[in-house]
Amino acid sequence: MRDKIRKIIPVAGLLILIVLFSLTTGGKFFTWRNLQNIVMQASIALVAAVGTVFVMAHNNLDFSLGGACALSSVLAYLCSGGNLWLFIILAIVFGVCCGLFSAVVHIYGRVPAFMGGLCLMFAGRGIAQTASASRNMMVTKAVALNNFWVFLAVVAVVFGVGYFIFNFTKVGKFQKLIGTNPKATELSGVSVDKYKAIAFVISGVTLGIASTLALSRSLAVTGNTGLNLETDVLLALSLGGIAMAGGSATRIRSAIIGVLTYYILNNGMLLWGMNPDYVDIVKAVFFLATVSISIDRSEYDLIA
Amino acid sequence: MKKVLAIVLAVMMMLAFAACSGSDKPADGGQEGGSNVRHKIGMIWYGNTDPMGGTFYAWANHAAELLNVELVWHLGDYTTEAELAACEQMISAGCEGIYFIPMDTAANLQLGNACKDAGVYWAVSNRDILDEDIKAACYANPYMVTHIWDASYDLAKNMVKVLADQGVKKVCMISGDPKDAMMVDRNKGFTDGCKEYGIEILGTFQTETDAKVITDGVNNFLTLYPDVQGILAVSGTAGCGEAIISTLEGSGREAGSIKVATFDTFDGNKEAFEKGWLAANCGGYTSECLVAFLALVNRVQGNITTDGPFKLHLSPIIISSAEEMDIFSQYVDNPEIQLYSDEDIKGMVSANCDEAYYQGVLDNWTIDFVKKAVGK
Repeated sequence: MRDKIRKIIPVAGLLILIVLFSLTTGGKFFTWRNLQNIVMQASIALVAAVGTVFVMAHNNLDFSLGGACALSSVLAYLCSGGNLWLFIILAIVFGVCCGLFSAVVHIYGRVPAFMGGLCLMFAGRGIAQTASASRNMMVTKAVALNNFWVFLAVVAVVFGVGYFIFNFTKVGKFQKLIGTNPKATELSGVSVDKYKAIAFVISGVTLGIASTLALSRSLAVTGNTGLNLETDVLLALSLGGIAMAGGSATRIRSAIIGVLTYYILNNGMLLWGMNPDYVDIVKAVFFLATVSISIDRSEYDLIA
Repeated sequence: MKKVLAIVLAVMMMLAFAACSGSDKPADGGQEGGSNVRHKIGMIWYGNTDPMGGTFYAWANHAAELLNVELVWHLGDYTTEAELAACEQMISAGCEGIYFIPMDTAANLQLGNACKDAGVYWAVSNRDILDEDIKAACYANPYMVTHIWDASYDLAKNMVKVLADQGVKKVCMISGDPKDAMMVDRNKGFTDGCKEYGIEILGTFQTETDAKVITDGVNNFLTLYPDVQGILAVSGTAGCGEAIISTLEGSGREAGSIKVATFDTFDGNKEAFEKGWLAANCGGYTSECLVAFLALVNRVQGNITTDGPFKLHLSPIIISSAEEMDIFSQYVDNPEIQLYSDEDIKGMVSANCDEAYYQGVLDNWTIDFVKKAVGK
């Protein structure tokens, strides 16, 4: 019963927020424009979160997202010379390179993935800030992509493909196996390192797509591109009830539930006209309440 | 799979419901004119904890109360993407005007387009628009109310004049990034000012934020050009102002034998004035935020209608003595001090306010205005 409640809470939290804001914003929440806003604002984090789920499923954390987004955007811009279509392809290529970097550091360096991710985060941010200080990196043609239907299509495809790979292919199933028991998985003849690397590559692909979506929102690559992306994604996934230790309890739906919850909360509080000094406090309380109910504590039982 | 399908269906239902739910217009929408209608303005602001951020936050809230305007604040947005998200949410919240400082040039275009699509007025301040195509697109946007930027070129020339008036004939210059529009203006203002006032530039090096480069560079100046009488610096932030003064103090030269003119206020500038090292310093950008905000309120309330945006510029306050520095420190960028009276504020929201009027308000932003406002 307790386990059922724990699983229901993220969805219930999302539904409660939707009902709450629908009833208390004088109809502003349920306008077509506002729902478009929510979808477009959540898309970047949602796309990045889909890839991150693969990494978290095998019990790793990817802290590189923001810096890697900045780095892949800068490199894609410099190599594409501002050509939009080339930028899109190169952003994915460099996103994959960032994922491979984390994988190599983790697998061959035997360093926890979050450490490699932190390095990439700082290095990526530093390179992006250095590059943007010496030139304007604008791609004004990207304004054509800043469209609700484009964003919706990208999200649908990324989530759909991610859902399929995660649940119906061995790439996804092995991530959960590794997260549950890496030793047993290895003894079963599964190449743990290979499948971990594939997870980072998938995360890199989604990161590259997220970089393109970010460009279409900002029209420029700057030192602040992808700022706080890793925080947004990890917070959202936590709100979505993702299993922090990975394994078989990991569900890709945590991405869509968590990201929507996070952005609807932000949106609703602004529609309320809440005093900005209290916004972060309310977010923290909501986050703490949701996560403390929905988190899977079975991994901590031995500590207790 | 069933759960996912359920979620997808629920989302589709939400979208369908929303699509059929009618108008997106604000409930009290429309530009009905007059102040009886309580209009709503969205304020995208970087923060309210530093002197300038806190001061404008206090000034705008006070003005809003006075003018019967409701403000919706969104703090802490440092990217175009975040500003755009805030802008879209504010439009959904029924805001009829959006004020922001664009985080980069593209922000003007993106937020401007969002406002145009929604029929919402918008105003910007504190930044020039670097890209000519974007500037043209923004100026063609019928909902843009103001574009206010810092008049760095004229300010730089005026700072050179202060040195010239003190008898300085030979200077060294710390220049800024030639690709940064604001720094280009400052560089050019200094060089043109030196030509105009007959001052020779002995040497130059470039940095805006690296205090160590400043220390080494100023030491080099003193060694290479022993007859240097003044130093011009495009930036005093990030420890640069302090580095210039401390290097001069450690040089063994007589206090005040070299005069410094620098942008941006910094710690210890009052003492530097008292000792004679500092001849001119500048700061104070809050008034352009207020003017942009009030012009926006004026347009939203329907008091004025024009064909294009008001294109205005502000010269930050030049400070040229320890006494002025003292006044500046106490009263400028202090959230407790309302430098503009209630009558001033009401005067800036009326049918009589045109571009020349607002430019006049900005031109009046001097240390003498501050002294008068606080009764000094």
